Amino acid sequence: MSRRLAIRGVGVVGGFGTGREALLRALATGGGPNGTIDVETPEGLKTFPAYLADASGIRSFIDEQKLRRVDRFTQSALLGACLALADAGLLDRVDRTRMGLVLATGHGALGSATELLDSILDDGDAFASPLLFARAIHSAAASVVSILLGIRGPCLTVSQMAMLVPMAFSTARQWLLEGRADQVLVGGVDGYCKVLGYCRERFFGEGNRGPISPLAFDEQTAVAAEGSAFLLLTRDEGVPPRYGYLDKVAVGRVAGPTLGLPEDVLVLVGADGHRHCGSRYVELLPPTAQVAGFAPIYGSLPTGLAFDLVIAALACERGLLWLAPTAKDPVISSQPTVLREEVEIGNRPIYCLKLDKEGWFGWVRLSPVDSKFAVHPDA
Amino acid sequence: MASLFRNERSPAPPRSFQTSHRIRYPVFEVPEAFWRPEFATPSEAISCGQMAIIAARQAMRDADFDPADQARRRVGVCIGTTTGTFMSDEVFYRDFRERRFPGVEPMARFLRDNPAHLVARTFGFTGPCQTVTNACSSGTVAIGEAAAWIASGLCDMVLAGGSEKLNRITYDGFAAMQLLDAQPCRPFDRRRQGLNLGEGAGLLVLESVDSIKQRRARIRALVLGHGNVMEAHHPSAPRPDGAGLRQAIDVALRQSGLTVGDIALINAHGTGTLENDVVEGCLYPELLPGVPFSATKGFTGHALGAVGAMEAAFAIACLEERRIPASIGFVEPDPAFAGRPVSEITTVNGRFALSVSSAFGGNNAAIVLGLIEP
Repeated sequence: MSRRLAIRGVGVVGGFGTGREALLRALATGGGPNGTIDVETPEGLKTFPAYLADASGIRSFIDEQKLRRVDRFTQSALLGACLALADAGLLDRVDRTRMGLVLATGHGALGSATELLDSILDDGDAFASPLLFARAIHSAAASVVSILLGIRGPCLTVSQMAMLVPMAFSTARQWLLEGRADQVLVGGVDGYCKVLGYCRERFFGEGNRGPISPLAFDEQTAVAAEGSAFLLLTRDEGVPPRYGYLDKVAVGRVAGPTLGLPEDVLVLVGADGHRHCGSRYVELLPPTAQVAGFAPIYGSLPTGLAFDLVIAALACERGLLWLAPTAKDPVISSQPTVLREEVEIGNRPIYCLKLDKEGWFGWVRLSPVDSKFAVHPDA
Repeated sequence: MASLFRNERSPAPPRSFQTSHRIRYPVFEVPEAFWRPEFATPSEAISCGQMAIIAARQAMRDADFDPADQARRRVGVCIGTTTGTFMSDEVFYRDFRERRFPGVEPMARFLRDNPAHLVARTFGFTGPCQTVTNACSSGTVAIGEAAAWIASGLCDMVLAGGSEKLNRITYDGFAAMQLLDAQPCRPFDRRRQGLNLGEGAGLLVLESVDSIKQRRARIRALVLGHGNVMEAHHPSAPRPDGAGLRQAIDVALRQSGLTVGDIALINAHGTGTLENDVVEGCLYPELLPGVPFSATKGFTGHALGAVGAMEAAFAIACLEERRIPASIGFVEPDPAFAGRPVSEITTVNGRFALSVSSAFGGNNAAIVLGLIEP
């Protein structure tokens, strides 16, 4: 059996808008924050740019009545999931007893968690809201997606800040290769709420203003973001996939001086304006690697790599990688080669790479349909 | 295990936090002495990740594995939790909303203490690292996923299981959902009124056969199969016909290559809630007739994301001891279902056990565990 997986559909919602067409438009124009957030600080009210997601498009897929008790965070997950299913032609009248769901989240439903705390602090222990408690548990979004979409295969929520997206895709790959599921909906979701804005301001101060310069590795240029990004994967069976293949995932802690990637590797770096992670890319990528970063399109959030994977899938479909916003970033000596024009993908694989300050790495390799790696995924 | 076989339990009102509930629902808290040697932290401040570290040390000692000796091994960590990644720092949040502009060190600590990452960082492991939050099935799911990492060659060894630290918010949440029994819980009993919350951690050292042979270590038990199935029914209630749980058990059994007749015992989910116990009480006589089952939550409380892993460890110990403890709290059968857990210490014969978990939101998980042939 082939060990590569077919990418059959993508679904995204973020500051750039809703759906693949909105993302394509942002990729063509360069994108950027679409709103602002206000943060109260000891120094007074501060306003920062932000990439805010509007999940109201979910009403095109799910009855309003069924959404009454679903919070924004879960609505965003639902919308990304529905868009990926629709894109794969699996939205209507499909038996989902053999479909799996893997959802990654860094912050979980933090908005509902703080509302739950509000209910306890305002009214007392006996008046905690049962609805908010059920919403606030990190598995709640996957549960609601499963219930409303009838997904009855295996399910897993990954909840951590580091390498959550590579872990989610590793799990999805495992399930498909083991035959535990025939399709897996896999992706990430994170939401914004006030307490998160406060923490970001305290941690990073003015370094939340952007514009995000992912490859200006020594600068703090992050911008808060929210949204969801999903891919629908199957085993490599039947018609060739529109978006190419996911053929390898690697996650762990860096054990040597390099990541062992090929010299001429094409990399979408998951750097998203956080200085403390940036230097790792300079240290670990081959100097001849060609790199681009798309965080300025979707913002800084723990699940950012899921958005990179959607962008890589779209590039595999198109055969061209867009001119990345990082083309304008300042050049730093000894760093990998920054792509400064559109690049033909040809049969080259695209590595979506995330590194963090503690030495964790994770990458997911996507290949166009005619890639040599698609035939030899363990290469 | 000794206290289980002595039929001892000591639920009590919470000591590590205060609440204003009229009823002081009993809980099973981990005694402070349990973590004192490692962490000089007051009980209200001990984290889920710190509990996991203590369990990891115990598990590695039992496996005769020194984490310093991992140079040629790829060691992963897969830990389940329900609330261990849930922002629950009340002091920080109260100060924030009252505009006292608190420092964010509590949040930095909360992020650092993600259970799987804290364990990996503490012991310097370099393999994949994942915190699973599938609610109450998290620990069982984490073991199943870790077993798959070993089987696929992703890792040589995985610290796998679950960890949970009880706090006021969880307590209030379960009380609000009217799922708590004001008395010591009574799984499968006709008079059951709900669950008692618990806390703790259970970790297993899973290892490839090659790695074990290389270390000349003993194999204590095998993970033979696992199932993970959503039932897509309701955010907080199980599907009454038990279809999801049945399917999870089917998947686990099929992977193990065993039949129902091979299973010597079941560690049931058995929470003591009205709805859960009906589902299991109806399912086991039909699907696994004659197989003795016990609910150990009467001894430990429901430690949410940790409990599936704790119960996997109990199931292995029961196979080794060839007996299962009484399902404490069960006295009067419920006429609504035919299943009856064991009401006294019961001898079991066989090498294979089934341990099951069900979760809020409809996730069901089952693992088949076995002893090696003597």
